[in-house]
Amino acid sequence: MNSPRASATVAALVVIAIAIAAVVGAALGPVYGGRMTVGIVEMPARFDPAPAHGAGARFLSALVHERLVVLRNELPEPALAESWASAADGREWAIRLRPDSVFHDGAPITAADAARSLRRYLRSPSAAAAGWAARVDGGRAYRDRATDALPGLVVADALTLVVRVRDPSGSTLSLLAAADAAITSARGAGAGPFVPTTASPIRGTLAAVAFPAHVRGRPFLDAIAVQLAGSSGSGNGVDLAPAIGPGPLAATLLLILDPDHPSLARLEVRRAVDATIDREDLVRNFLPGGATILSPIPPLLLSAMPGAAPARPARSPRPASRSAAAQISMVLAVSSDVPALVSQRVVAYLGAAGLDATAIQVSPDNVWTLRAAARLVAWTPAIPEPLLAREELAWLAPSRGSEAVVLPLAALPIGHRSRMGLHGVAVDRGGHIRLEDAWIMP
Amino acid sequence: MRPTICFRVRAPLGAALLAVIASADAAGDSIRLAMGTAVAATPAPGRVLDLAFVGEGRIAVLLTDSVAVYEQDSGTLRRIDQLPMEATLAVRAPAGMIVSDAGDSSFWVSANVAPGAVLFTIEGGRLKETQRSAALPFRGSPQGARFRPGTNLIDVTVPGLGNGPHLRATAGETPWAIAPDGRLGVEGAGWSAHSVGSAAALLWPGVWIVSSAQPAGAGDSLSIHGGAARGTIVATFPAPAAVTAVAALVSSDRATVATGIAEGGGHRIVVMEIAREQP
Repeated sequence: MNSPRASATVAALVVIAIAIAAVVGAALGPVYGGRMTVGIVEMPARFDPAPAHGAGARFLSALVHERLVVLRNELPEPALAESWASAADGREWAIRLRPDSVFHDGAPITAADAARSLRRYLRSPSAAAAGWAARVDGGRAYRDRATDALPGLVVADALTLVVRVRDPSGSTLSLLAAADAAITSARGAGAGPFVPTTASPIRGTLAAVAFPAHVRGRPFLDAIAVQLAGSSGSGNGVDLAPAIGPGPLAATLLLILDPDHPSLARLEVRRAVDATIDREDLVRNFLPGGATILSPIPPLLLSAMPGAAPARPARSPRPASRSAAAQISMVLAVSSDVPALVSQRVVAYLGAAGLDATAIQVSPDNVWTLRAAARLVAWTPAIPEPLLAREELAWLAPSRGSEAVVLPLAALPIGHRSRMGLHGVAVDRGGHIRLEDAWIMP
Repeated sequence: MRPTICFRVRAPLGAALLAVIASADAAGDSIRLAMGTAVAATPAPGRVLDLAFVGEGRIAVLLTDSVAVYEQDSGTLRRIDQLPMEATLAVRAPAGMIVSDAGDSSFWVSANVAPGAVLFTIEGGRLKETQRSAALPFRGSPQGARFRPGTNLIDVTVPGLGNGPHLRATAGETPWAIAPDGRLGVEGAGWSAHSVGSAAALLWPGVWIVSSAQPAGAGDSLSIHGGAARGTIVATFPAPAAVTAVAALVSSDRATVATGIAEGGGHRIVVMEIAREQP
C-alpha cells in the first residue's frame, strides 16, 4: 500500500466512496433557524378563516391557522383534535381536543373555542361549509340563519366536542379539514405554525414568526416574510414563490360555462366550445408539466381511486361549429393564477367557436362570484378527497341538469420556484404549499 | 512516522457498505484505512437519539420515548433493560443527549421532547432513575446544557467554543462541539472550515468519526475526519440510511464505535471495531 501506484488506486476508491455518499444524501439537518421571503400574487386583506381558492390565500391559511383534523391520503388525522370516537350507529362523533394546545395568544384551546369556530364555519360561503351544514343536525337551518340553535354541536366538557349528524357519513370529519374550518380564539388568534406579527397584512406584506407551541412542533424556520410579487411570483429577495409547475398534478384548468347566460344557453354552443378547444395544444405549448384530462378532478386525487384514468387520450380537435353561434359577445372571468398565455389562447378558441369573449382578470376567490358568462379557473379542491371534490365542484358550478357546463381543459402541476439550499417545502394532495417543515441548509 | 488508522468491520453495516482498504494523503500525512465487518447489530425499538458507552462496556441508548441499556454478548447486542421517558413536547426533529463518564454506571440524559434532565444508574443489570434536574450537568457550563425549546439546538457553554447554540457538545478531556451549520469546533483549535453531520464521536486526538454533512435524506455515510490534519475528510463509506447517533469507546489504539441508524422506518444499532496501527 505504500507504493505510489497502490496509493493512487486507494485514493480513487476513497473518491468513489465519497461520491456515492453524496448521491445517497444524508445527515445534517433539518436545521432550525433562518428566515425566508415568499412572494405571492394575491394577498388576502385579513387572516380570518375564510374559503380560500387561490394559492396565496391557501398558503397564508396554512401558515397562520390550524384545524381539528388534517387529511393524509384522504383520511382524517388528528391536528388540534387528539382523537375521536363515533356512537349512535355513526350519528354522533365525540371529538377530544389535545389537552395542552394553545393559541398564538397563549390562551388554551377548548371545546368552546372549537364550537364557536365551527359555528362560524357553518355560515361560511364555501362548498365544504355547505356540505357540513347538510350533514350536521340542525346545520341547514343554522346556516340559513333561520335559527341560532344548533343541536348538532354540543360542548360536552372543556376538551370534548360532540357532533351529531343526520345520517352516518365518513366525510363528517373530513369536512373539518377545510381552510375555513380553522379554530380561532375568542380574540381571533390562530394556532397555525407561524404567528403573524400584525393583525392583517400591511401594504401587501406580512411577517410571521415561528410558533413554539404548534401542535406538530415548532417549525424549523425562525420567521417568514410574505410579500406581494409580480404575476410570476418573482420579486426582490424572494426565496420561494408558488408556481404552476413543476410539481404534482394537484389542480385542473377548468372552463365553466353558464347555461343560464343567453350566449351559452344552447347545448350545441357549449358543445362547439368543447370541441374547438385543442387541449393537447394548450398543454404542449403553454402548460409544461401539465396533462390532458378526462375528469375535472385533479389527477393527484384520482390516482388514489381504483380504475381512475386521469389522462385524456390524444385526439384531434373537431372543427368549430361556427354556425352554432354568430359572434356573440360575452365576458370571460379569468382567475389571476391562470397564465396569461393560456387565457389568451382560450379566448382565441372561443372566438373560433363564434363567441366574442372579453377576458377580465379577477382574483381566484372572486372569479367564482363575479357575474360572467364563462369562467376560466385553476381549481384545487378545498378538501383533497375525490368525492368531496366532486361535491365542491357541483356547488361552485351547478349544472342544473345541463350538459357541457364544466369543461376540463388540463391538469396543472402545482409547484414552487425556490432558491438553492431550501429543503422540506411540501405540496400536499390539495395543492397547498406548506412551509412548516421547510428549512435552510446553512 | 506515518499514523495509520485501520478499520475492521466484521458484519455488514448495510448493502451499500464498501469494503475498502485505503490510504490517502492528508496534508502530507498518510492515513491507511481498512474496513471489514461489524461486531454486532440489533434492531432498535425506536429512533436512536444518542448513544454512550457506560460501565462494563455496556451501551446506553436514548430513544424518543425511553432509555435502554445494551450489552455485547458473543457477537450480539442484548437489551438488558429499558425504561420509558416522558415525552410532553411536540417536536419536528427529535434530539437527545447523554452525558456520561466512560466506565461509570450512571449517566444523565436529556431530550428535546421533555424539559429537564434525568440521571439513570445501572444497578444489578437494571436501569433506575436516581435524580432529576432542570438542566443537564455539563462540565465547564455554569448553566448546564438545555435544549432550546422545540428545537434540536443545545444552549451550553463549551470551554473555548462559546455558549452556543450547538448541535452537539461534549466536555471530555478535549471539549468539542458541532455548530448548527455543521462546523466542528475543538477547544484550542477553533472551528473547522467545512461541515460534518450531527452524529459524531472522537476516536483519538484530532480524529473523529462523523456522519455526512449532506442534507438529511434517504441515506448517509460515515467519515473519518481529521488525522494529522484536522478538518480533512480522509475517507467516507456509505451507510444504508441516516446515521442518527455515534459513540466511541477508545482503548489505546483500538476503538469500539456504536452507531444508531434509521432505515426505512426501522432502526438499528450497529457496533464496529476500529484499530489504529502505528507503523
